[in-house]
Amino acid sequence: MEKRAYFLIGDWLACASLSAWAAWVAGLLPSTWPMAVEMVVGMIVGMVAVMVAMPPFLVLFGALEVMVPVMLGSMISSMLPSMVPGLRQESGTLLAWGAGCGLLAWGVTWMADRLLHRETDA
Amino acid sequence: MTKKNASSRWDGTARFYDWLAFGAEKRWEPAKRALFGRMTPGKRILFAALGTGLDIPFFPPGQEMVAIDISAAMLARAAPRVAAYPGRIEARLMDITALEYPDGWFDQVFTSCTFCSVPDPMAGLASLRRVMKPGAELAMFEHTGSHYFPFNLLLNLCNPVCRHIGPEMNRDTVAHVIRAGFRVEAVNPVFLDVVKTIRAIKPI
Repeated sequence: MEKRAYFLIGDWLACASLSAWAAWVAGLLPSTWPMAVEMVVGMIVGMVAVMVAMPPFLVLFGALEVMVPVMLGSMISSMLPSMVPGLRQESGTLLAWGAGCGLLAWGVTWMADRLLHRETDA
Repeated sequence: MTKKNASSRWDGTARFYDWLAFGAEKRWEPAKRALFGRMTPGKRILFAALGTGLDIPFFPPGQEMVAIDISAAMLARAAPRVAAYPGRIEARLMDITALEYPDGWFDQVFTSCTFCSVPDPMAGLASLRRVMKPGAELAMFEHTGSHYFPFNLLLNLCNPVCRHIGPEMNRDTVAHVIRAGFRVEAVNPVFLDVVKTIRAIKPI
């Protein structure tokens, strides 16, 4: 995985901000729906919203294929409002949790990448 | 996607391509430099596909090669980089599935993010194999699908959208290379098992 500061910071920024954005968009859905329906619809809406907002990050920090952690983070964060209904009340908290999901997804991807490189090098 | 569609899509993208690829080119520069460092003077080299020539600064100086692309607009944009290269690049408008070279012509073939976009990857690889000498080297920088969850799921999910606006995100290019009759020598991951370099040989 990338070690240069420009790309590291770019990856963190993309993961955190786009996952927070996905959570916020999913939080706009009606809270009256059944949780399972809201989770699925929220995930679809959140991921579409991320696709729409992704191009500036793509241009600055890399290609579609390196946006895998962003997609993972936003997939999880867009299900947050349905799973933790209390988060809807405070958009600041929802954004922070969304950003946290993005950074967690980056961490998971980083670890998977390290393991894969270790396997290949061995 | 047909050959004509692919050509006109890349013609349409040519104007924005350098701008779109800004981050990706910077990010992949070290891996590409390492791969293209295998270019050997005196060998007959084919580079597919040249695009706007963004990879040319990563080529070692002093090489002589043929570089093809399916898009005339892309090649027109590549012209200044071709001219500035300290070596010789013959840039030609050509489809990878219909190479205008005799059997067994090239010693080395390089690709760079090519087989995510070739409409029929097996036909493209068969065509490359035909123009390569027995024992010739195929060196590829490609992005593919993943074999690992959840990355494979994400790439499969976004592929229906991505394939309409750009490349296919979930191709198994290594399997295609093997199926096309090459012997894979090395597969080195660059980012996960998604972005990778592949080195293969046309068996003697």
